[in-house]
Amino acid sequence: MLMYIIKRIFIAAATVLLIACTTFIMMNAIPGGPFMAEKAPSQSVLDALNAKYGLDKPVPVQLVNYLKAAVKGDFGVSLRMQKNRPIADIIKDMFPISAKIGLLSVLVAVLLGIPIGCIAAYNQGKFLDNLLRIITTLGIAVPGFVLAALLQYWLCVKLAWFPCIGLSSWKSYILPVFTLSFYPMCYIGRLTRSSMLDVTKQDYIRTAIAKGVSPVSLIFKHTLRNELLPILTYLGPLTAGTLMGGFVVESVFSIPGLGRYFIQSILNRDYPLIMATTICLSALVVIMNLAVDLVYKLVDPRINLGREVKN
Amino acid sequence: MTKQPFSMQSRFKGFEFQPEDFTKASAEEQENLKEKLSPGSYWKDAWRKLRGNVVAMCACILLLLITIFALLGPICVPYHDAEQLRGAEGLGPMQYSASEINKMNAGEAVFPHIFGTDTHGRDLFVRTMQATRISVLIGVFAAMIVCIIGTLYGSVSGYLGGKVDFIMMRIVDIIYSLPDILVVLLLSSIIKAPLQNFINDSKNKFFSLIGGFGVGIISIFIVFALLFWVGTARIIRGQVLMLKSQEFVTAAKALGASSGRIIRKHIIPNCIGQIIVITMMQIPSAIFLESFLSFLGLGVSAPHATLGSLIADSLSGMRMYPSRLLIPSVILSVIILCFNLFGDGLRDALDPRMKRESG
Repeated sequence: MLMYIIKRIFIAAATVLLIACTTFIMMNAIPGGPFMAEKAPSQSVLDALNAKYGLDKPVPVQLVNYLKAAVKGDFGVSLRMQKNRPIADIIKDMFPISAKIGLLSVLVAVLLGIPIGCIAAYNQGKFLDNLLRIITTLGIAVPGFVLAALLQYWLCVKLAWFPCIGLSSWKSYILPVFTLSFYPMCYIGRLTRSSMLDVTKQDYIRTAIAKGVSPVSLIFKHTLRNELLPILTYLGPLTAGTLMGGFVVESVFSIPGLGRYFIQSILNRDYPLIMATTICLSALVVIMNLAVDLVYKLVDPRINLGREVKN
Repeated sequence: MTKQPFSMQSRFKGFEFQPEDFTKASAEEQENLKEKLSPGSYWKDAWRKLRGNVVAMCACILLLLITIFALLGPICVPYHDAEQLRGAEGLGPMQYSASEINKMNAGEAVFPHIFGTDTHGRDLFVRTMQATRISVLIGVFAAMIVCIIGTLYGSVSGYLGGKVDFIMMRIVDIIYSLPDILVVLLLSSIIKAPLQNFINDSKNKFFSLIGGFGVGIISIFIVFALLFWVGTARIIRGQVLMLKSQEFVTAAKALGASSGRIIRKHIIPNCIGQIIVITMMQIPSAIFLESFLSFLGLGVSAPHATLGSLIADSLSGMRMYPSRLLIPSVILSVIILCFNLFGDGLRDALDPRMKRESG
């Protein structure tokens, strides 16, 4: 077990390092630097600027310098978006907003998705089940940005129930969170339904019923615990998905979060900012994946982590 | 009851042979029996199952209709997708510009702008059809790229086993844990400029043809080829591990077949069902990803449009022209929905063993 954890942490660290290095090298490979404006600065000015930001050294040296500083939490300064402001500062400002929306939507997705699946499985083949299945199937097909745009049109522009943009009050959280959580909610609902149907066919459930276990204890102790496994596996991709949805939702609803900033820094070619956001976001996803894998082991001790199961 | 010569009453109670049982079957009966007992090939069975699946067939028909709409539609409309009609900017659905009304009053026939026009005076009906075409094509091609790379990688890794397998699978692990959307965004923004230069410089007809669609499309393909094959590779590897210990592979090996031949002739044909299903499931996610990138402005470049960029364009004029938002949104959602449903049906038909993860 300990070996496994160490191995996984090693792979996770390697992944983040790989991403950081690749991004850095690719950034330097593209023609056109951050100082390319419509009116190109003279060569001497360019040289001075490059020297100031350490861009005149060879790429490997720059990379090592950068990584050394990054470990200490110094990501350099933004070159274009917010000139000369330390990036660590910018991220400190932006990240809590994105994290709040992301966490809320993960919570909503899990807390609504599991009951939806349970209700559907409980009413298998009946009207309610079919209705929920249609809704969840649709929910998986409609891309997040389409949903965001449509919701904004109906609820903000037409009915004016919610503010269109920004984060002014609690009301403005509702639509972004709903949009972000809709797809995972439907997905979790479907997962729960099918795994619940699977689990209820097992012998130990029949035994429990025969023993006269109360329905509440049956659902919570015997069924739900076993069906949580596939949902747990989905939590890793869910984080990545929320991240990706965050890009769109923050763009559509003009929320000043990290995702929107990431897109803008890409479009503006603010290299240090792209680097920093990439490293932060990928570290987040990799850590989430790692955590899910480890929790997986805790929940289901049957899983053999050391070796891959051969089928 | 008279005693029959072939009576087996003593052994099987309640069952007696009748003289008719020994007459020759008529031609019709023979035909019936043949049909009932014919083992039916894998494909015939699958087709029968698929035909019986109403939802999947409806999805398939809808997809065919959309494809026809996208492929043949532009031929029937006299406008071009990049053509800007002067004086016809920003028309609503079925509206006409002043000059067109004059023409109609003069007795000339004018093709209506069924979905209206955009702010540059481009006919949105044609644009929507072209956008659908590009979106679907990207989805299909990207899925094929993923399928080819994933199948090759997975079957080689699974078949060779041992250290090769270990290293190949660790590579898959690392790619798997990359936050794909982040990498997609980065790559597609970074590849864009060098690729554009490359296309502008190259005299190869093929490249300039693709380049016409914008580098966005190419970077999407590159991203798919680099990142998205890992899921397919894992599934195929699992299949190959199972297949390679079976007797027919051992037999082929004993007869001296090379590894390449065994993979090509024995293993891949046996997991063709899975390969088709996985490819089918990749299409909607490819379409989704492409429209996502286009929506953020990193996909197909103007004047070409895909459904994602049409939706992004419509956001600014949402209040005035809701139809511009609604139409591409509905088409995109319906395409993805139909591919999902058809893929589900295909999986049930081709690969009954694959666990149904969704109800």
